[in-house]
Amino acid sequence: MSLNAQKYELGQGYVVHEYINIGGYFSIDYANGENVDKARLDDVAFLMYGKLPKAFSYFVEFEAAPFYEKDFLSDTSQKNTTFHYERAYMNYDYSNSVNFRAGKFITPIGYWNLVPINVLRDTSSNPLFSYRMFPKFVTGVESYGYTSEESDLKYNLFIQATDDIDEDYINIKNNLFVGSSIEYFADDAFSFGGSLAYFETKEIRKNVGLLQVNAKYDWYPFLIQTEWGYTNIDNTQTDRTEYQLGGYLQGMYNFTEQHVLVGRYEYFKDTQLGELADEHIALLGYSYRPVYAFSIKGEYQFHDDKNANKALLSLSVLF
Amino acid sequence: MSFRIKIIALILLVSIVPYAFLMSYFGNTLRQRYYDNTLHEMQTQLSLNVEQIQQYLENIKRDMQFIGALDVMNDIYSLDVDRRISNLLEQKKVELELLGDFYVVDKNDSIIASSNSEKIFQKIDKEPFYSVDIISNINNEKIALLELEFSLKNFTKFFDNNDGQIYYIVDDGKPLFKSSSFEHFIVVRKALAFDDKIEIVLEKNQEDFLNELAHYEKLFILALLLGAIIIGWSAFILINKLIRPILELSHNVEEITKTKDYSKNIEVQGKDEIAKLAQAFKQMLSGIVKALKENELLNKEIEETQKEVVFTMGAIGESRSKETGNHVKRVAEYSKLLALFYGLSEDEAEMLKQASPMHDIGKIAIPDAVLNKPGRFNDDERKIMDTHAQIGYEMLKASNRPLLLAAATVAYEHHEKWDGTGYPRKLAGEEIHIYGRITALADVFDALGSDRVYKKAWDDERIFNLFKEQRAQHFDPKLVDLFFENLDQFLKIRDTFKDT
Amino acid sequence: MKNKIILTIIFSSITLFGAEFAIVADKNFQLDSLNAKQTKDIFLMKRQFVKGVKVVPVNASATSKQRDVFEKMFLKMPRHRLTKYWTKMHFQGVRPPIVQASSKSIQLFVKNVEGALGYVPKSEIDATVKVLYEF
Repeated sequence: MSLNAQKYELGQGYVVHEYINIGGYFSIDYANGENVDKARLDDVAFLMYGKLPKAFSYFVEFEAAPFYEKDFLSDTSQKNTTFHYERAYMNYDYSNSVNFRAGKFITPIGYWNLVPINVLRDTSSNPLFSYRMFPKFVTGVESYGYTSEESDLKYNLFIQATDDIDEDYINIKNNLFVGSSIEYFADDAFSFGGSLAYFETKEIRKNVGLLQVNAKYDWYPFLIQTEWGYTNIDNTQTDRTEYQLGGYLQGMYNFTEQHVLVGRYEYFKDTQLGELADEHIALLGYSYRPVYAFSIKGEYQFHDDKNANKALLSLSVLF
Repeated sequence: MSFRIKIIALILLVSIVPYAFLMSYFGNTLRQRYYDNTLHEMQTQLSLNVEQIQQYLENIKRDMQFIGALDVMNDIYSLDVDRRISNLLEQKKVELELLGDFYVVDKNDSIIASSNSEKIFQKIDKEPFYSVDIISNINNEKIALLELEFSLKNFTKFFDNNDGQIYYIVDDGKPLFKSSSFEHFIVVRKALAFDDKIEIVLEKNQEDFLNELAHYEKLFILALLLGAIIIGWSAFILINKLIRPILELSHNVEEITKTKDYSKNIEVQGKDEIAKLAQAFKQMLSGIVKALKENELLNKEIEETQKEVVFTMGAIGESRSKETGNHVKRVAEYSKLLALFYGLSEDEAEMLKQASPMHDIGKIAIPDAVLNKPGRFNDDERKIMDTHAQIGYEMLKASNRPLLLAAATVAYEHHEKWDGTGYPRKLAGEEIHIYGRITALADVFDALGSDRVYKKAWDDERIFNLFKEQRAQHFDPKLVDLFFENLDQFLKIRDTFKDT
Repeated sequence: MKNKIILTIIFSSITLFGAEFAIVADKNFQLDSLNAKQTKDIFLMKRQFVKGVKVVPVNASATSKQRDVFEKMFLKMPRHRLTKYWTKMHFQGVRPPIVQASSKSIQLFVKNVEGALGYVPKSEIDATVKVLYEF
């Protein structure tokens, strides 16, 4: 029975109710290389969002990851069927310029962080830059919008002054995180931006300052994007100051709507890792999307450390 | 009515009557219980049915709430010109097999969308059965109502009607959808939680119930009768066993009374009161037997004494007349013999034999001079002599002993003659008592055959001639005939008791 | 800059060949016109207000010609790219605009909902709406 005004399309969610839209996603991947041979049902998640009265809206997302993992090298497997809060927040939309968000939400830094799931990514793997430098989620408040009625400049301001509401799923545990990012849309194809942030980690207390820049040129069938970041790490425990410098340059070519070729070069230097500081990765990937929300991707990574070379295969769906 | 029957009747009465009362009370309770059970079953059945109906209603309500919150309801703003809402409502109506319709009604009571396309753009005219607010998520205000027009007939699809039962609805006192009715029925009803003016009613044909009840009742009666029979039979057997000693005792007593065999043995079993009674009775019997025996002995003694006395009296009587004692004896014997031949019983004949010696007792009153005169009597002397019969009679008649009365008769009439020329009363023929007739013959026979003061003994031939001559004169002809027929026996007696 | 050129060309071509469609809103809608950029931002749900006015964009049915033209003209994205866009937006918790099935229903909708605007063939415009943009 067609309960909805619109027909359901894969990847655009299901309208259950005026106030309830639901969706979900999962991904399966397989990595094979010198040091790695494992298959995963990586993430399984449910999400629900909707508009509420008086310009409020909400969003929740529950994920269990890695849902199931089988390591062929060590012949072990692990399961993780507990669902954690990935995101849970409320919005208040006052105007184009003033919008508030409170709860646990994605850190609005960079391109990759905003689309953290396999199916929405261009490649199966995330560039190192995107998950090594800053916490992927903020538990706190954020205000965002266009700087003015006519401007094409978007801004973001966020503060976290507490622990993450579900610490299991954060890449960098922190209890203070504050930052701001901006993005300028020059025209339909070209946009660029940057962000400035500061956070303090838990466990080993580090005070980290971050500076990040990004730029994208999207001119179908081509797309080029690049991001670079620098962090200054004040390690209170070792009482040393370290730094990270990382980024990438990625190009994509759409043969057709459904077939895409991706190439990426990554660089990452982390003085905390000593001699292993410099990392170079070159990646070649290919993705096939019969519909956008269903992707089958393959890639091969060339590392400076040849032992780390690996092939990655994945299949993912968003409902 | 025999003792046994009385007792059995009593026991039966005592046991059967309470049993019958108990059973009928029990039966009544069962009947009531059965009725209650049936009612209870019906109520359970009805409750389930009502539950189903209420669940159905709940489902519809839930569906409506769900539909009212769908985003397609935003089409209310465009007055559902694309009919998306109406199509949805129509689909839902078909899916639920609903008798009724859905309406989306705006603030002015206009129907914007409906599962019944004819109603669109009309005004809603009835109160809905149920309605849900439709709130838009665009501006968060109530923009319309989703209303349900609902026919109670929808409930009938839950009604499992058959020959024995029907369901129907009562709305505000009015029955609806009642497909049939029974002449006699049992009914249960239950109101809906949703609206207590609406009741679902279950009517069951009482006939089925009654039939089943009758069936059970028959079984019950059967059981009752069986029980009664068993009780009766057990009582009967038990009673019999208990009263057997009594009956035996009674029977034995009866036997003894009938047969007068007081020596009959009575068995005593057990030690209870009946046994004691039997034992006492047994002792009593042996006492009786002993007493009887004693009595018999005494009787015999008396009898012997009596005989002797009579005989002695007779002998005394004869002693004055110088006849020998054996004359008395002979006459007695002749008399008994004749009596027997004549047909008298042994007892009577014996009695006559004992009475006979006294036939001349009256002679005591006759003066010696007359009595022992050797020659013939003159008239006066004859007269005086003849009075001995009367005198003898007078002496003996006062007793009531049969023997003495017989002797009285003998004394009185032994001189009467068949032809009526005897004395003292000149009786004739059979007027003369047989005792008299017999004694006359016996006496004369012996007198003639014996020596007397006044004559010598006759010889037999002369005696016989006299008898022939006097047959039917002096003597009863029958007796004479009998005498001659049995002459040898008489002669034998004469010979046996000859005077020495 | 490039956009402005394209827009001018298109506008000219419309004027040349006749604008077939129009963006319409209720007569009482606070704005009298929209420009292409505003329209794009509105229909991509990037902006919810125009000059302080809360707007409710209404799309035509996915298979309709006007939608096709609209997307090409204003959103500048072929359908597959729009799909990609809306998939990503779904992940962020943003829904695409409401769809009404017919021009009639679009016009009724914009009439009854404050701030609503949609686009219909000019031939089907009725007197109760006002035109904000012709294309």
